[in-house]
Amino acid sequence: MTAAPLAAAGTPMVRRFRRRASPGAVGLALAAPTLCIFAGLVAIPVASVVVTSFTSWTGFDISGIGWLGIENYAGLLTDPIFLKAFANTLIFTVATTVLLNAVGLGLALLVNTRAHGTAFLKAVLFLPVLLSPVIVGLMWSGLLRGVGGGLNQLLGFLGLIHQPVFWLGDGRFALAAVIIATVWQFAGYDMILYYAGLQNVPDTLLEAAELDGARAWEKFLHVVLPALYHVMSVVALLNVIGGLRIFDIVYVMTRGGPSRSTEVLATYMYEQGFQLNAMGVASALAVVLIVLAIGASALRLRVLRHV
Amino acid sequence: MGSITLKGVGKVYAGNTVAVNNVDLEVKDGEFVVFVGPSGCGKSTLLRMIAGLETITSGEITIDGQVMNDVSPRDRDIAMVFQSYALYPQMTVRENIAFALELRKFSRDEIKRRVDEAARILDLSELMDRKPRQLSGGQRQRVAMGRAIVRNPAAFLLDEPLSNLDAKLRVQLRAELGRLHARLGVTTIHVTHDQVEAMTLGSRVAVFSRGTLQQYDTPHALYHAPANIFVAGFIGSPAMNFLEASVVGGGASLTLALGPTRLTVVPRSGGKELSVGDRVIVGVRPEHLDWQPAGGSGLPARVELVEHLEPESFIAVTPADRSVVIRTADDFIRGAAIDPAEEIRLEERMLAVRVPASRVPPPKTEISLVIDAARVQLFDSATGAAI
Amino acid sequence: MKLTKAILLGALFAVGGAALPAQAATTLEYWTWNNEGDYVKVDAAAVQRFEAAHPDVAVEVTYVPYADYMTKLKAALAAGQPPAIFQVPWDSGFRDLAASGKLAPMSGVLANGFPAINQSAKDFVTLDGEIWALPLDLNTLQIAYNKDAFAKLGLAPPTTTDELKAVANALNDAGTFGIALGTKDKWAGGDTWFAQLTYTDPTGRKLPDADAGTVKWDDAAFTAAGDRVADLVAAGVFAPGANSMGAFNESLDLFVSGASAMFYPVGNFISGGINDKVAGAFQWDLFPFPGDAGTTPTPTGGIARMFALPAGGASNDAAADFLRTLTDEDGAATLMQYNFIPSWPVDVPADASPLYKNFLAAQTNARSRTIYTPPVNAALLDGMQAIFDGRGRGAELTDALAAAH
Repeated sequence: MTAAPLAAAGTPMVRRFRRRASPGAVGLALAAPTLCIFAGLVAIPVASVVVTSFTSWTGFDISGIGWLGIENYAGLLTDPIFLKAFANTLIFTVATTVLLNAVGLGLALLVNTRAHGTAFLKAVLFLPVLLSPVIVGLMWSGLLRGVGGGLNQLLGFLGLIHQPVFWLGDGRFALAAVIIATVWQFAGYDMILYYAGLQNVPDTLLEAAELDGARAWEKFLHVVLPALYHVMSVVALLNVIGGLRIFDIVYVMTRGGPSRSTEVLATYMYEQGFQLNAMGVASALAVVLIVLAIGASALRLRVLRHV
Repeated sequence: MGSITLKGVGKVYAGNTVAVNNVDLEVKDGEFVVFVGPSGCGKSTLLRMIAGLETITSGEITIDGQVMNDVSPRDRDIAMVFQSYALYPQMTVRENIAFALELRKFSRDEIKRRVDEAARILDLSELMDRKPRQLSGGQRQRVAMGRAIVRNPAAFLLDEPLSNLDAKLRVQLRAELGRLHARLGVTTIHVTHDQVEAMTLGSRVAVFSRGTLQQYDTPHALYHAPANIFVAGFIGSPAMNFLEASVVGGGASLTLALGPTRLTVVPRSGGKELSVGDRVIVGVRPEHLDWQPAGGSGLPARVELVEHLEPESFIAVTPADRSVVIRTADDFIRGAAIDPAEEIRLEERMLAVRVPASRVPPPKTEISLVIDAARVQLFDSATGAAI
Repeated sequence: MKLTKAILLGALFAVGGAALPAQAATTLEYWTWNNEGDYVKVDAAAVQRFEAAHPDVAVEVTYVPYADYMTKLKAALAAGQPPAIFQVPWDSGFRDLAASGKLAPMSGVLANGFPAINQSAKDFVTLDGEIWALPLDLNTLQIAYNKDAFAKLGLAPPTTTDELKAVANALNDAGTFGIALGTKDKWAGGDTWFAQLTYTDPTGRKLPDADAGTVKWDDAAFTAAGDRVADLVAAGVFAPGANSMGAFNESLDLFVSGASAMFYPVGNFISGGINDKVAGAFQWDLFPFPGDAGTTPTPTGGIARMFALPAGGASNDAAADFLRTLTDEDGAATLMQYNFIPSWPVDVPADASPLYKNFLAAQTNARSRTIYTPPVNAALLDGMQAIFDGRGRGAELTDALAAAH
């Protein structure tokens, strides 16, 4: 409806704009559509979360909102559950990032040998990525069941255990179990990214190193790994961000328990927001997550600049 | 200290694609040998087989008398320079050059001594702390050379080391390569598709076509006594002209008929006996053709194109008598997959003539083409082999 | 869809004179998360009777998964487009909902054409002197036991804590687990504490008083309840790995497979599910969670399903009529037909099953199993997980409760 008159007026307007506007203004005008989308989809929601984090709001009625200042944040600092969830999130993130990179790269090297069956292997290893984390969580819960679980049956058969071990019900093992399930699900994703990276390692560089006298591991260390540095930084960042916001697998496998031993920031945020109706606290937790994610991104840029 | 011998060396890929066919060849210690040929002729594959980067499906490669077929590349004591230079991007120039020595556990002092020496020889001292991406193409090429010479290997294998450079730099670095070889005296095999590079650098040149060694000889011999039409056509620019002729008179000197024109030539002694009625290919280089105004004793022809160059220009002519058949070297490459669209049709083929710039005939005129009968080379009309 | 219908109707009117199709002029959206088992049949029967009596009103049942229920309900309430009738949770979330001002006050409604709801049930849904929801039915939590397994070892249902420990010992010696209990979902762990609290606080007043702030959360009765559960855990009364099992998943499997001879917590709401899974493999019955010798066995319980209407809802009159259909004489009969316990006094049918009679009997003295202060409730569930993990006892638990308040 409004398109026609705008279009008709467009040409002279653009011309006048061009004559007067600085190059910066033109750039801004060209970026405006993207900026609008960014504002609508990212900036405004994030800003509203930040604002909510300074309030008490139960999530029912916006009129029932109350300004609290930094009280939600101050509360978190003395909240043992938050501190536990924060520590667990860091442990989970670091562990999954390290393991995912190691396993993903290892699998990528394996399928990159182009031996028979690697195409099939690649597809199979990628399969878990396509599964819903809920399904993966249920699968691993079944595997790790105390009575009748596959792992206990195997360990019992091998004579390694005589009593069932309740992997997910035991505070000593639960976090490790969730980490392993996550690595199992997403290793294929890292594998594909590393596999793509390996395609960009020039064959001649490997040949040059071979002629220079490098053995397999020296070639890997001096040629393959440096060529993957950029990919690795992207993969690691994706893993870190994925680790920070982990929710579904943890929720399905342990609900954050037992006794918060697998509580992470996202599950605690869910509990605060949707079970305890404390949207302000939940928003403060979301802000903590956002800050951590931005910090990880910034760290990556800094590290890359020195490469 | 660095002789390389190939005996019956062959490479067949799965699917029976013959990449290298039964090559016999010897490179003497300290020699600078060039492998030349069009792309896909197997020269790079052969070089990589010598380096150990490709397996050998038949024959034997020896370096200094030692059979290398099953020796891993790093134990062959050879250094290679790649077309892409293959510098390690994350290492500085110094680290790139020192890398092989460090892997081989040389002492720090020895590494420093050798790297500094290489840097001095190649004029790299100012660039030692830069990363490859901060270097120009020529500088990268020199670093790649430095990486090779620092090891003091039995042989250098250079795989098209100059082809990524612009024309001017290529000429300059070609000369540097020559000087470097003269100075170090290390056995060198240099692969190129550029026949000028081959002729200027090689003490001997091996010409390859379709996986087969066509001729292995000095540049002078390749030019003046090519073994076959392929070599004759590949060496020299513009390429040698080939005309079909028939023998009309025998004896110590043969009389050949080129359409209406007669040509009396003396065949090489020991060549194939020719008798009246035989078909033969007459090869004549552009510089051994000359022209007279129409009506002369030569082959009547028409000037189609003129390329003005100083001090010598080139003209392209077509024989007036359409029964004179012009051949090309491609006609003799068995099984050559020549795209029909690319093939120059018989009636469009022309002869190249080199003339002083001062006496270029005007285009589209009739002339009489004079052939220097003493300089022609004869080839078998069926096989293309020199007669 | 509602909008489309409205436009369509409007258009028909505008055209003028067109005969209206014989279809409902009003549609009541009805939200519940109970999309399996016999509650579906209860709802369907009520909808059928209601629509027959009100030809101009249709009821559209929408099942919202429990995991998403509160999120979706909140969004609908905040957007001003709530369903006409909606189920509300019985746990601590109800208080926030009631306080939000988004629910219609129900005291007036319930006074008109509804049966007399039990006072204890009314207390559950009363906040600031106003009733905010209709409690439809009640549940009680007891321990289910495998009668065949007990008989084989010559065991009788225990009536005291010591007897319970002895039974568990005998079962363990025979290679059978004690009570299968899944505390991964946390709430079932809380119920063991509520069960013990009926004995450590015979008055039954401390829980509501602590919620109201007149009793401290580290009261000795609360601590003692935690200690008792810890003692039971240490005595091997429960099947191991409670924290790794869901309340009605892995733990129920243990009971059904015979690996455990007891199962907790069991209410009428799950008895059908147990019957389906056991499928006659063995006989089972119920007993209340026992306490000290000389005390009356007391089950815990509360409201099973309750429904609210939106504040100022346009079709609240019709919606209230639907709730009346759920609770009228036929409604009560339907509930009882499927072994549900109406939240008002009813005559027990003569042909009721012994199990159902057991539920009804237990209901008469059932004790509350709800903490209405959300952070305290969360601290209780965490503390119970620690106790089931062998870490901590009552003192640690109630310290955490007090800190959370």
